[in-house]
Amino acid sequence: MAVRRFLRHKLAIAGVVVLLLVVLATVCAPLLTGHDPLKVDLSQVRQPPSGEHLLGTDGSGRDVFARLLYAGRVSLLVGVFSALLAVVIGSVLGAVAGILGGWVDALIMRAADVFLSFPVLVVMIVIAGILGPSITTMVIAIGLFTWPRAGRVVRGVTLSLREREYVQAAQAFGARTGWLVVHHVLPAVLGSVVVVATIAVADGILIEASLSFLGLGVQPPQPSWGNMLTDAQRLTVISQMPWLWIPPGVAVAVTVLSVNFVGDGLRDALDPRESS
Amino acid sequence: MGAYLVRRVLVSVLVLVLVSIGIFWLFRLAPGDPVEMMLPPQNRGPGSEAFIAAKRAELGLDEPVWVQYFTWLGNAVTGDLGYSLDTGRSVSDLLGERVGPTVYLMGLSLLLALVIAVPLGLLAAVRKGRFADYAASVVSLGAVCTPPFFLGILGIYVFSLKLGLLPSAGMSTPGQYSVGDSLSHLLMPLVILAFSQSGQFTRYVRSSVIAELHADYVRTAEAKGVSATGVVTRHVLRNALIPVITIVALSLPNVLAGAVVIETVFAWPGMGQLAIASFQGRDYPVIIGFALFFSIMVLLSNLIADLLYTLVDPRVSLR
Amino acid sequence: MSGLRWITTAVLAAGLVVSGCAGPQPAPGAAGEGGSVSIVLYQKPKLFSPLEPAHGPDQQVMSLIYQSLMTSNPDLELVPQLAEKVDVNDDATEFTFHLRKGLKWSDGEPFTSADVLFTHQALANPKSGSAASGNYQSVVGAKAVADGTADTVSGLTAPDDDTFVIRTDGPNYGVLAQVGVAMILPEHVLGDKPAGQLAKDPFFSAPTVGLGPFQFVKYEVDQYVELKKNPNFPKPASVDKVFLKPVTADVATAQLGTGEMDIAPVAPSDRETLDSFGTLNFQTSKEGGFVRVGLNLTQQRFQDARVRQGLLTGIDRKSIIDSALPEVGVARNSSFDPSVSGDGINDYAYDPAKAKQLLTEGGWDFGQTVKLAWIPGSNPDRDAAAVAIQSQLKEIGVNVELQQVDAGWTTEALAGPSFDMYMFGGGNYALDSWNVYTIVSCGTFFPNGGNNVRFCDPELDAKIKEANSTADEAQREKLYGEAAKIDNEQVPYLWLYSPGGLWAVSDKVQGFTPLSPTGGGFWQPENWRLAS
Repeated sequence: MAVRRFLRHKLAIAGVVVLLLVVLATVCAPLLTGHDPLKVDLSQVRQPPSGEHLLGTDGSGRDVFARLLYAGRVSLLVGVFSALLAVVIGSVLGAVAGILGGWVDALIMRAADVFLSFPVLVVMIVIAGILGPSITTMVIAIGLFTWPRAGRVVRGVTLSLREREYVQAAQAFGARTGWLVVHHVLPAVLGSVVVVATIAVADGILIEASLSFLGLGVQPPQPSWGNMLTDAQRLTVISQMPWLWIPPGVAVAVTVLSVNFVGDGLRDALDPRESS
Repeated sequence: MGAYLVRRVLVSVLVLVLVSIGIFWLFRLAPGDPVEMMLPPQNRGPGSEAFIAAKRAELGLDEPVWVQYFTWLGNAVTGDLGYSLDTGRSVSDLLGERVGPTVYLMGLSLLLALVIAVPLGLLAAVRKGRFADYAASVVSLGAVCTPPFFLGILGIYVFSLKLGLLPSAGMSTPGQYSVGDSLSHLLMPLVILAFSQSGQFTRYVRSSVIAELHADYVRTAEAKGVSATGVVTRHVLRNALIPVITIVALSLPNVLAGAVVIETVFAWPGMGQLAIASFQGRDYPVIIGFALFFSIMVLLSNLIADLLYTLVDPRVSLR
Repeated sequence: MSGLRWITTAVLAAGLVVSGCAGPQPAPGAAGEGGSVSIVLYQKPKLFSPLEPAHGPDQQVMSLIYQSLMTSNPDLELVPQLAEKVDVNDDATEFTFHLRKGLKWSDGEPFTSADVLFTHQALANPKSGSAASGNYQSVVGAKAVADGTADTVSGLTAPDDDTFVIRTDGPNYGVLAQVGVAMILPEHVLGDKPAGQLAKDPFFSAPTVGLGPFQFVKYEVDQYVELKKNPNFPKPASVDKVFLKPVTADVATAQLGTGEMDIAPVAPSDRETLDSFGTLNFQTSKEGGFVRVGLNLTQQRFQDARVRQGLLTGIDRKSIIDSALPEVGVARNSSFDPSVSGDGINDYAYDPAKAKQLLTEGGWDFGQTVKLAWIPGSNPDRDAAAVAIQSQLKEIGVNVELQQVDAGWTTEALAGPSFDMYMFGGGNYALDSWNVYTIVSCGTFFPNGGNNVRFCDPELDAKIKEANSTADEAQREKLYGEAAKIDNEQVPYLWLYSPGGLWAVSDKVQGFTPLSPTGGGFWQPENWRLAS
């Protein structure tokens, strides 16, 4: 039933297809380009696109197309996993807080406040300083410090849900918490959670970019969409070398849009009240 | 309500203390010593070590961390946040000079972001699955995934350099103050920051309006023949705004982070650049001062969000 | 900005969004005399105090409002400024500065040797919070002050109103460049402050009294420093006002295009964009420092000179310069300035085969990996160089892992020393070759000196010391030349390049002569004038 509803959602299908293509392209990068993304050629610096270099070359004469493909591996990993981590932690804690209320709610929400009150960058500077920058620590740190967003959203929806007549009626008939979560809370919060997740994916990719800027992200010469964008953040590049920023920019945008449409489709598919 | 507020404020103070302890210890774990960093390697010479030792003693950094913390806490209670290790100026002064421009830019951009996001999100939700919805999706997600830094430089290139319409940076032209001049300096950072924020707000408004449109009461109202516009404006928007309030409150740190970037790009004299410089220079007192400001903003906005819940949705009660 | 203005502006903001806006207002370009000049500061200024550790933007502002006994000219030679001439005795132990007569402070008070004496006493005294007191170590009586057994340094004296004398314990010609360039402070304003309070004096946030061609007006926090011309300067400046604005490189580029900025050091990679404006002239300045890769010489693997020579030979510095610093970058082959080291030294031209051979002879283990650390993001040329070095060394079988670090990491890693390879720049080794001593000698290991690689060669130390012990110009040059040969052979650092400075100057501004951007000052700003 749900699967059929999802399949009716044309944009969601398109999203899945595009995401698959993006993943496939990054995984099969060696088949799509003969260039080594790390190969420096100082005689071919900042060349515009040509037959030899489909998307031109960067400031060190490396092939932008090859870098774009290999960069996708890292960026997708960081974006998707940090978002998943944040959303899972946040949704569980948020739902628990909203349904149980009382001191559990207070405890979880104040914990959320503490996490929110720590600027992520500060935490990253410290963690990277102690453990050394690595993709795993980055994913965990981003996830750990961005969960309160999902947590608060889910709690908010749950809270207002709890006051609704049909939920109270269910409770009065002795419905258990688990049943409530599955039948009422989950469908109701899914829409908001999908949005949180979509934005978290984009955020994850972009936080990685700003961490790269501070030298805490993916270490060069390994490419990521984030550090490709960061490297392009100069007036001269933006105005005269579009091949250096349009490809990573479009890659991030297409990925985020697809994640969003897939999320939309999922929401519609899982929401029993959806009829059209 | 009164008791609730008192309890909430007390808890917030506790959170602030926790945050200050966390930052105090955490940052001292990071590599780098602020006093060592005052003398860059290329400026080292005979006597450097003596200078550093003297400086460290003068600043009280030779004490154990917990002694430093309680000294700091004792002073902080009286409103004295200490002195910058870097410039020797009072932290309250440093923050005080910059809080105005930052709050000014952030506040206006948050407002503008909502002015863009609410109608756009509503339109997308009502027209779900049609062209307007897709267009709104592309625009808002575009805003989400474009780094503000990028938009800033692009804006400078287009509006200052190519079109010559707006000044490229700063808060006013040096040496001349006028309202027009000040506004023209504000416009670009304001709009760019607002646009960046509006993206995610639009998404949330859209999603929660859609969820609300499916609610039973809307169907009932429709069945009874109440006009769609009436339902939307009277009931849906109001209920849909609850999660949006949460998000706006939660976005404050994000807006602040965006403001930091925008301030750097546009040489806007706010707190952002001070924050970055103090992180990099391990200027502990300034970092803590900044972190406290940050935490107070977060706590305050969360409190306001919770209070607003009760206003928008009387069924939610505060306990 | 006052609270009321905030509100007014905020209220009007909404209206503006709808109704369009006022355009930028470039500074009025008056002809000939008067007008204002805007200059980029590459970072925010902190304090305008010679007692503080040197900070580039502070130095730039200070060079406009203060003056010093000696200064650097555009050819990076040490020349007198407040001194009319300097006499040095034969064994370089006594330095007599004959001050220029009739000079006045910007508030009209006469300038005398009392000001010079006061300033140098304060700088030499660690109790005043001076970061430069170490420079006075060789001055007679400095130790007594440092130990607390004397209040003033006996080797600093002012025999009459127009004369100031420095005496050193042993021969030390280098003291001239180390101490002579300190900015002079007004004794009549600061003289009565106790030593312990001097560094914290509010004067240094707003130093309105100075000897420079311009006078401090105000620092609008994080926005700009405003200066006006000093009427008491012997040759009053032509320009009325100077604004120094801390902005990013991108804003600087844009403002050069819109006319909001007149003078800025720029990156060669932005040259094309800047050229397209058609309103700018370009000038280059000499650079006394250089970008290098330091090898941690406490590690066994770097101790054979052939390994260091091999690594240097394996780096294609020419193509790094051609791609990242066209026109301005110069390859280095010595810690000494090229004018001292001359052409007769090994140029370590790029040769992968030879590099491999040298490394093999030096016992290099090609299976190992070394980390190359640097602070990214502030110099595009260094970011490009790091990537290029990693790739080029890989070609000859040396595995390099890049490591981006921040300033906090640096001090700790250098103190350890716990780094493998660290790329950094700076220094000024052209002003006086004695400045090389601190980065190569056995007695100046970090943290009490700039030798953070822990290079040690007693023969080189002896040669530099010998050169520094004579006031005879020709003799010094000859001895430093010999020292440069040893240095060139030993490769204490993997010298990369002197970045050189590229300046963009609005065609409105005449009379601007650039000085090395890392030197942190301006050359004779009184000569700047606006074109009619």
